[in-house]
Amino acid sequence: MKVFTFCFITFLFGLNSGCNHGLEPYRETAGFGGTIIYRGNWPSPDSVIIVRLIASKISPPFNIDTVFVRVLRGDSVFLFPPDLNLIASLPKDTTQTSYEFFLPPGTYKYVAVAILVCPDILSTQCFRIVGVLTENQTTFEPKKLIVPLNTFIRNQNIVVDYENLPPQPFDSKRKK
Amino acid sequence: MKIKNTPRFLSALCASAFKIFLLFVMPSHFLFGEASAQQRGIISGSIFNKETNENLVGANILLQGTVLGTTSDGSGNFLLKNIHEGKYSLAVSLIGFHREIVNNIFVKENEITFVKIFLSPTSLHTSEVIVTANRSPQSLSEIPVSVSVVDAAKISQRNAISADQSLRYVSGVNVSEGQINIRGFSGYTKGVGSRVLLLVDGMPMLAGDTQEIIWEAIPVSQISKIEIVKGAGSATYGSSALGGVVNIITKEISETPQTTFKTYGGIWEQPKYKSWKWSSRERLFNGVSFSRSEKINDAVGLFYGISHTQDDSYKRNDYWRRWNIFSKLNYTISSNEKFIANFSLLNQKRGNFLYWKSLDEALIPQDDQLKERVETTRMNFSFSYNKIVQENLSYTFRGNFFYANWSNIAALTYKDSTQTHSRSFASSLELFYNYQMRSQSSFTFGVEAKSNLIRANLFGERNSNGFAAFIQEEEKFSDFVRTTIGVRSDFSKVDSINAVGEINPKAGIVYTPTLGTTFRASIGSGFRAPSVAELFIEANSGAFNTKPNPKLLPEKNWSFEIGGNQILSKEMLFDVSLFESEFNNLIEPHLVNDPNVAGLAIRFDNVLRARLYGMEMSLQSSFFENDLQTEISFTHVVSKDVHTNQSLKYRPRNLFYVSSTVNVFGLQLGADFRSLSRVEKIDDEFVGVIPQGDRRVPIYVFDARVAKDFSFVEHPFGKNISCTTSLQANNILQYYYNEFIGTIAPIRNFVLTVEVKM
Repeated sequence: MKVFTFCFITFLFGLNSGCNHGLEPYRETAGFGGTIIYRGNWPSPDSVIIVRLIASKISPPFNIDTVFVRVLRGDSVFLFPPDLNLIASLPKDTTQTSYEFFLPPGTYKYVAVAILVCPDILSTQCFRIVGVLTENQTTFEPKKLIVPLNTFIRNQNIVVDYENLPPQPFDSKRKK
Repeated sequence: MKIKNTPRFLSALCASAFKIFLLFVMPSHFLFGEASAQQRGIISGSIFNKETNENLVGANILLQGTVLGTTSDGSGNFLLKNIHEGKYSLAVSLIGFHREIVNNIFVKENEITFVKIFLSPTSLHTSEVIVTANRSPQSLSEIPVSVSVVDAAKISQRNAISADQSLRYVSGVNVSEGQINIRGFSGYTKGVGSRVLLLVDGMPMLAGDTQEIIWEAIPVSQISKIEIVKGAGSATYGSSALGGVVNIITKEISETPQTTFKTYGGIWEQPKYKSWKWSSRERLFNGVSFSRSEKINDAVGLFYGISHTQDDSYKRNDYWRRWNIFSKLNYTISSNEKFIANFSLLNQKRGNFLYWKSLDEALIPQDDQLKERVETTRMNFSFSYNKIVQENLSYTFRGNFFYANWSNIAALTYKDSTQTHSRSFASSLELFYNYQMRSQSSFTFGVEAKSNLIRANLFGERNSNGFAAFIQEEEKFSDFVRTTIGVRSDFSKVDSINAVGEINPKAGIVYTPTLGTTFRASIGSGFRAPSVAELFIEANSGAFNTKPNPKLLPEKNWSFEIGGNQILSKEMLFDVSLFESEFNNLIEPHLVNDPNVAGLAIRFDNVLRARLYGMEMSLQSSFFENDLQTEISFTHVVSKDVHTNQSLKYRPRNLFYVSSTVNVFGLQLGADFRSLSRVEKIDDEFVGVIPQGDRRVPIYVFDARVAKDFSFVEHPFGKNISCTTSLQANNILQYYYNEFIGTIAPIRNFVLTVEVKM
């Protein structure tokens, strides 16, 4: 009887967890992530429509029309959040935001935080690049980021300093 | 690096000890006189098992209304001397037996009174004597707070390699990566700033620099039992006890010489998933220990031993090799005076696995951690001098000195150094009195002095000092009602930071309306002064930077508990508690936006007003003449940041534990199961640094074991030899879980243990 009772209790333990093995290997989707750290005062809330991350396989300067074609084709310029509307945005009026940007493997020569300050998405006047992924904080030189297959690169932190914005990457032929 | 001020510091400490002795100890001799100077009566007795008539060894005997007490010797006999003429009661208790009160014992001057006491066996833990809750021996059923006890048998059965492993099945206790969390009081800080105070024989033993518990510095084979007091304990023990107290009681010297040899060997099973396999050879762990306990003469007893343990680990660069040396000296100066000294030394070399490379390679750390190795030396010396001044007054003067030295090569860097290191010397002295004012009322009061000296490149050269005074009274109003009130005042100063003072009161009541029914209620406040590590740590690496915060304030809390227990039948004991705790200035690691660092900056801040509340239930049962024993416990804890209404980090909401043993066919079979709900909230920001850092699951762990005892009465050495062999399978269902983000908790392993006592 005591053996039966012991076995019964033991069986109950096993029943609770027997079919489940907990954590499993997870193969990563290519991409990169980290934290966007904001310094200085945000522009007034009305003047920031959306905040996006942009990752480009081509180096600046950019022609705004070409950039949009590349975004639509999905081959060399990518946005995060990826939705092509004026609603999807990273959080605004905050001091820091974590992000995970999943995109095709490759070498990204320019990664930046952009804000849209007016609704005309084809106007360089409406875009502001406010932060660039750099090797260090003493320069605005863009970091060349290699994203291998099945690898998610972490700790890619971008500092946005509203008192000290980076140079704008758009070329002189941009649409007015 | 040398501690330049050590001689000066030691001389100051000795001077403090001498002053404490002069101020508080000497007057008691003149005020109260010497007990041994007068001729009084004696009680001599024997303790027996009521069912078998066998002598019982190690029973606790307390002469009620006095501070006199003793334990039964190897023949089950005891002797209490220097007793005033009068009528007394004896309280006798022993683990595994019902507590017995023997009334109407008459003592006459210059006469010996003989008593025979018979104890009835039980496996229900209601009568154990606890010394932690109020600094004096008390039966478990007389204590107004929740207390759990882990005895040496349970530690041995589970082959615990370090003391924390034996706490994993204690109700309401959650051990994560060596950090103990009682009823959700602690999150996870890699041990820094423990909210549970660790005592060894009543003396604090936390590392001076980080105020963390160093479990591996405590030799498991020296442990007699572990008492766990839940709820705020600062009114008795001061800082760090706001989340509870764990008191490790070391073994008494055995009456007859005893040599113990223990060895174990185990193997980690290869992980189930191909991508997690990183080693072609088997990962093994093993250990060997030797200890001897003997009485040199009637007055002096010695316990000494050495052990070597090592583990290849199932994770890469998570290996360790460890030497422990330990000894205990017990010197009975007279029937009223006793001196005990403990010494332990740990030397350890280990790798460092902080977090996984990714969940696809979960048993391999990040590349930069592969080079890390940590070397540690910890040395502890403690002493205790106890004197019975009169039959209603005793005092204890004791001290503890804990030296810790560790270095982490190629770890977090500080400035240009690729090696972090820290040396700390923590010392404490205390003197307290137990005074039985009349048969219903007893006082405990005393003073305590603490000092820490730290030399570390992570924290700088720091000193901290503290002083405290405490008093508490226990009052027995009737056979049904017993109360406890107490207060403690602490004064502490860390380096150049302004000194802080804290006053912590407590009150409790126990109501026993009928035999087998007990209700309890308690309220108490707690505090924890920030550790030097939390105040001054400054380090940087690629992913994490830690920043100092010298403005940290002590964290404080108020804890309430009501509960009770009921013996449901001869075989079952049910216990239930409701508890709540309110925190102010809770210290938690916090990510800050520091313009001077490129990565994430972690700083300890007073960020929270927090609330914890919940309930705990446990059921002990023992059937078939104690052959089948089962313990079931369930704890539900809700933790909230009062401002954000979010759960606190790293706290599982539900803890469910079951342990069962059965004796059958000369074998002891055992099984343990624990289930902890998935942690609701973690540091979200770490997810950007640790791949799949947010992946976590509920915990289900099932351990099983079988043990066999052999005894040889006749053999060439002419002594009794007992041999215990056990085989354990831990995490038998090969369930993969994590206790902290980015690291897999122990996977399935098998251990064979042989212990020989002669």
